[in-house]
Amino acid sequence: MSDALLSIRSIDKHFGAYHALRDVSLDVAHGEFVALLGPSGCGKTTLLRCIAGFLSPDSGTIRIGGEDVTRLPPHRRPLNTVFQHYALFPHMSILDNVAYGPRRHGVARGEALERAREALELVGLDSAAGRFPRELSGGQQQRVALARAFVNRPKLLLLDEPLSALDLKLRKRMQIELKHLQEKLGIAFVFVTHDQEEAMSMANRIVVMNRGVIEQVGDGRTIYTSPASRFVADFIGEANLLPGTAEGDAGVRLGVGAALLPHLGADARQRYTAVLRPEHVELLDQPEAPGLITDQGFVEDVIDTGGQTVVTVRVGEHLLASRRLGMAGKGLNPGAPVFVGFRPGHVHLIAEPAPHRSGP
Amino acid sequence: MIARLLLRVVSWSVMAYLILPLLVIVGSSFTATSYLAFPPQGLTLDWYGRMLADTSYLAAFGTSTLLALVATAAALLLGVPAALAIARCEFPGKRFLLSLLMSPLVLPHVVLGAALLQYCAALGLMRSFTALLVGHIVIVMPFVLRSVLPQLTPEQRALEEASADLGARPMETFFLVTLPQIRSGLASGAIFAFISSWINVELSIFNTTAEMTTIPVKLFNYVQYTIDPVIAAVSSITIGVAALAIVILDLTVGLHLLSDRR
Amino acid sequence: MNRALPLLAAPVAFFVAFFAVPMIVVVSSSLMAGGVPSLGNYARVLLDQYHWDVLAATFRIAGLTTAACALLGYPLAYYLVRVVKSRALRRTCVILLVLPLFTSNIVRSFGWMVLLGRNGLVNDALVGAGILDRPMRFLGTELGIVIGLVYILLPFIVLAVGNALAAVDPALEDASSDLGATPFDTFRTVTFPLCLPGLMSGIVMVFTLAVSAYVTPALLSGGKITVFPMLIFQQYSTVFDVNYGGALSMTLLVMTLVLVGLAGWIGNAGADAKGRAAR
Repeated sequence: MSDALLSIRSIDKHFGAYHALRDVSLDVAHGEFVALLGPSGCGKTTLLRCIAGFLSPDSGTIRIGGEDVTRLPPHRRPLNTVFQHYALFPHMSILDNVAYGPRRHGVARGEALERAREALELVGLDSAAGRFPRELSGGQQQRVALARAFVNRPKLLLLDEPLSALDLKLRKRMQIELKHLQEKLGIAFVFVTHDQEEAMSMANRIVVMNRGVIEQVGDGRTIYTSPASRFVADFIGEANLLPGTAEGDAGVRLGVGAALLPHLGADARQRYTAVLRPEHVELLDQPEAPGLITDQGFVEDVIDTGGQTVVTVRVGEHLLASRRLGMAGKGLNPGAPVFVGFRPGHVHLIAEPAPHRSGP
Repeated sequence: MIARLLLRVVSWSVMAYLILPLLVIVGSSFTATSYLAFPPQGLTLDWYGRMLADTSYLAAFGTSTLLALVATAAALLLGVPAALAIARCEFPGKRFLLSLLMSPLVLPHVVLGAALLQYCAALGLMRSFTALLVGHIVIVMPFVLRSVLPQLTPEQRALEEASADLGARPMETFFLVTLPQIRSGLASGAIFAFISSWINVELSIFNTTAEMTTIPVKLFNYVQYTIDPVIAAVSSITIGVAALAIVILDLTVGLHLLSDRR
Repeated sequence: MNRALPLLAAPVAFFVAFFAVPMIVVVSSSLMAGGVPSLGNYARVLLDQYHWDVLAATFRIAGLTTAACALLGYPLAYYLVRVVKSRALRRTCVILLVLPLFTSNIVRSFGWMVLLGRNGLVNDALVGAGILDRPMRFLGTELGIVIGLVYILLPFIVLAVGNALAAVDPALEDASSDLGATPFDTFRTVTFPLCLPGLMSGIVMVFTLAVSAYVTPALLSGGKITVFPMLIFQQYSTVFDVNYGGALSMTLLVMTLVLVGLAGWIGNAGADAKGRAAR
């Protein structure tokens, strides 16, 4: 992809003996909103810092707009960053903070201040121009950090968990604002987060990382419905993970359900992890239902959060969570027998890379 | 209750013990008698007049001041880059290097003074201002490191990264972001450095001469032979300088010692 | 990110030229006698009972000074940080504490020369109060030197302990009394252990400074007591025997570093034991 804005080719990074990034490759197109998602320590921030130039990868290349920037210091890279704790200069006014970038690029003071004012206007903070960072609330500081980063008109903006320090309500509002701003500016965003909901609601594409490796790249829907690995299935949303074994052409036998899951083309004895989302597990009052694979179990636990209810059912040796809208838990007490069922089409199979032990 | 009363008595006695000698010196510098008397008998500024009339005192004050100023400036110019490199880089032997740079704080100054006397004699610099100066730079630089290093925090690092990210060259980042952020550390480091140089005897005494001497060394040599109110007057001046330095420190940086965590 | 590494060039070069090399010169000349390599200087230092007596006096004075500083400084630090409520009073006390630190040893010792003299204020007060029949001799005794050194070094302990105390979260003490501990128990089991590192660093600092002090003992000894740094000074300033003086310097240096290292080791071992107990 030569027309990609950002092109990362097989970069590796070690910190001493710790392997932080392993053979990571990624392309980001112009105007795209990409989220780097993963648990802490997965390498997402390391990758971001490599792109920004604060870290230099051990091997591999990073190109921006076709130019190799792998060995370029941060101040010479055509991108800007919104830092996790904003990193606003405490000794400068808000206006001076935002004008800092243009000034460093040789823009005359008057012109730089004008641009800074425009940028502040865009985030709705032009009235705070003369104040100092410590006088602003967290949400306002966040907006200033944003204005300061895009005032330089970079092609690429990196955001390092920019919303993590905000409270829940403000975070939700900022997610929407950020998305609108990104569309308005047309700048490509690479957004680091450990919050899958945030990634899902904002990004065009999500890059799921784990232990320094990219596990899957795709839009939110694909990642949710067709996770490429057990890790992705478990990390994104709630998931019932069941073991499955192919029985020739007949289908796959799951840990739950009397019937086989129809699955063509599987090797005999191939092992799978079956992913079944809780919202796809139905609670039945009779043992059979058309089109469903069913089984019998006992209620283990009922959690009612008002809008929805999660019922955990023990089926044999497995626990199966079922999420229902409304107060579906009524009359279900722990220990009560219950029937569960799910549609074969809702089961996503992930082939295990290698058998745990050789069969007889 | 008794424990509390005891604590109070001990504490105020210790405070009195700390202040008394300075009070005695300042007080007896005003005595009208020709020997040191405390409480002063009569009141006169005569001894200050005599001190001013003796140009050797003024010369010593001049040498001390120049020495302390140049040593402080040099310690800043060497210490700040060293602190930056130590805070920002990982390299083998870093802990050893830091211990080496800080060791003049615990090393007997007499030993260091003797070493510099011998070394500078070999270089042909014996008992010169240069010999004095290099020694003072060595002993005051730890104060700069000690007060600047704690300010080079990860948060401070993030500000520098933000600056670079916005397109500032390393020197611009240093002057526009780093320096304004560490200025309180610089100020307190500089004041501690200045005062440590200003009051030093153990190191200076090896490389001073009758003509080129610092105020503490001159006092030291004088006190061993005679004690008269002129000495008290000279000492009072140095106490005044110390008080001035503390007030400046308190007003500019704030003496945050013993205060609650900020 | 080692782009800042070249910044070390000038300071390190300076320290090598004017600190490391001079110290090496002292070490190497201490190992020379009559132009040939020899351990003779060290033999001269270590086989002479006189040097051991001086060392013993030096370390005795330093030990007493350190003990007195800790015993007097700890209560004062506690009082200033935990009892004094008025910010203005605490600030004044801190300034009065730092003022002696910013004043030359000479000036401060000189104050004691006046106070401790035969007709000084201290003797006047003691005789006047009927504690003594006739004036006592302070100058030229180890007691006089200890009084002067304690005075000079006390602020170091107060500041070290005080800053450690100020950093102890009062909530921990509240938690302790909430759990039923008496104030003394709280102090013994919570407050004291938490500011022990501060006390230890203060003690190490005071001890090293007391061992290497030259000015105060010189002024308050009246020529009657010799401490180790005086021996070094004599060799370099009057005798100018750099070989023998070097051996004396190294002896003092090694003794000091060994004791500092020992104190640090004990402190670390204590902290480790505490850390293990906490786990």
